Amino acid sequence: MEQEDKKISNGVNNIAKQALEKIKEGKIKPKPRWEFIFKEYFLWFLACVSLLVGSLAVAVIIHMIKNNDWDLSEDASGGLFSFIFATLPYFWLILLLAFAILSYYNFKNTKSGYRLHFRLLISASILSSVFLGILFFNLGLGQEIDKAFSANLPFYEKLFIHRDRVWLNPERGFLAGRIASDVVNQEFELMDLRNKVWLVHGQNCFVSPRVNLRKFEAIKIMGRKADDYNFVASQIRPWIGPPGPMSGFGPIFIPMMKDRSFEFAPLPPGR
Amino acid sequence: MKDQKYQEKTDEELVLLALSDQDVFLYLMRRYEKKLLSYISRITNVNRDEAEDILQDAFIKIYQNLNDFDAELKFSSWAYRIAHNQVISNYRKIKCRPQSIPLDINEEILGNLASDLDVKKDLDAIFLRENIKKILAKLDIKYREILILKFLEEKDYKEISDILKKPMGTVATLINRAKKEFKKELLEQKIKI
Repeated sequence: MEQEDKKISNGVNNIAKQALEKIKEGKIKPKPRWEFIFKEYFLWFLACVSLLVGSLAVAVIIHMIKNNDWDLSEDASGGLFSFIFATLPYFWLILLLAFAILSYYNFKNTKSGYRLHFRLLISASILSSVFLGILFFNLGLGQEIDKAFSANLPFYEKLFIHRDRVWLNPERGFLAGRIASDVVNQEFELMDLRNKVWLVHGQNCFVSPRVNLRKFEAIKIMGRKADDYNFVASQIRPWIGPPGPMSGFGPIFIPMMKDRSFEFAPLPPGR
Repeated sequence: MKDQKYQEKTDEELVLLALSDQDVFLYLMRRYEKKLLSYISRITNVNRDEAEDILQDAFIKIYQNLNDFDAELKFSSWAYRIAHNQVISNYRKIKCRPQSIPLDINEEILGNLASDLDVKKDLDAIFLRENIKKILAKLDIKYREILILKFLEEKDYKEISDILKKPMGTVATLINRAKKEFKKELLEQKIKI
């Protein structure tokens, strides 16, 4: 054993010397301190940004859940669970999860992040997102983001096709789309979510106070299909949310949240 | 005289001095070269030359990253961490190479390991001594490394946590699992014989 130790001792002296020679020959210098400080701050910045995006996703999720047509769950999907399954905001849930993981990853890679356990970090990340998300929702950010995405991202609405399917069911009396003509005597043309044009007869139907019946307005209609072109409406609702303030859920935690009217994305040219 | 002056300095003081004087880094390397070479040899099973190459690269990495040294850590933990990372980055290249270094384990370490693994019978202890390298080599690197750090390098949980960059709870869990795997392998080896 002593012999072995001696052998190692002799050898290692050379390693240290060789390493120093290599450092000198290669003119290797220690990396500057600011580089490490910058990296550390950048990781914290990314972690905070990820947390913030996750929180905004939570705000939109709450907005979508709150404004879902819960009163129609039985009629529209044949049951509460299938309705929940059809209308869950998957895009935002995935985004929340992705940014919670990203936030975890960035925190973990900070200098002392490894000391915290995965479960603790990921739970803290999700809980912080939920807490901030509730705050953002009450500030109206959930609705604003949903509105901005609808207006500016063409793929966004397609992501909610499951949700739309509930309203693509004229056989069961559900129709949704955008008013495509002028409204005369509560009668107008509607381009549905599959771009099929219907003539809607809305005389004597209930129109939600949140709906402004005019061209390009996005709406949901309950009623009955008369034939392949005509649809008789019994109730007209705004595209997002229940018919009016009287039938919706109350605001979450902060009671002074304003009831904002939803404006759908403008129609692309030529439609 | 100069040697004496630097030998009295702490690791942290040497780090600060090495930032302005490359030659001081030699004293820091000398403090850890034997320990790190032994550690690299134990966790990789590479031959002597390859272990020395890895150590040399690790020393250069340590030097390049001196400004990143966190005084909250022990310097030894930080140096072991860089050596560990160097081994991991070399792992694909080296894992299939033959092993040729005898594992230097003294009686005390072997006794600790045997008692911690609850190996009571003399026969098992003898078998353990003769086959420990073979058994460790059979284990997954994450188990092998944690057992080596705990029992052969004699690091505490905090140090292992800092070296492997894992929370202390995870270190404890990994050690328990590694001990179970080790015992399982020990039994399998005995049955084969």
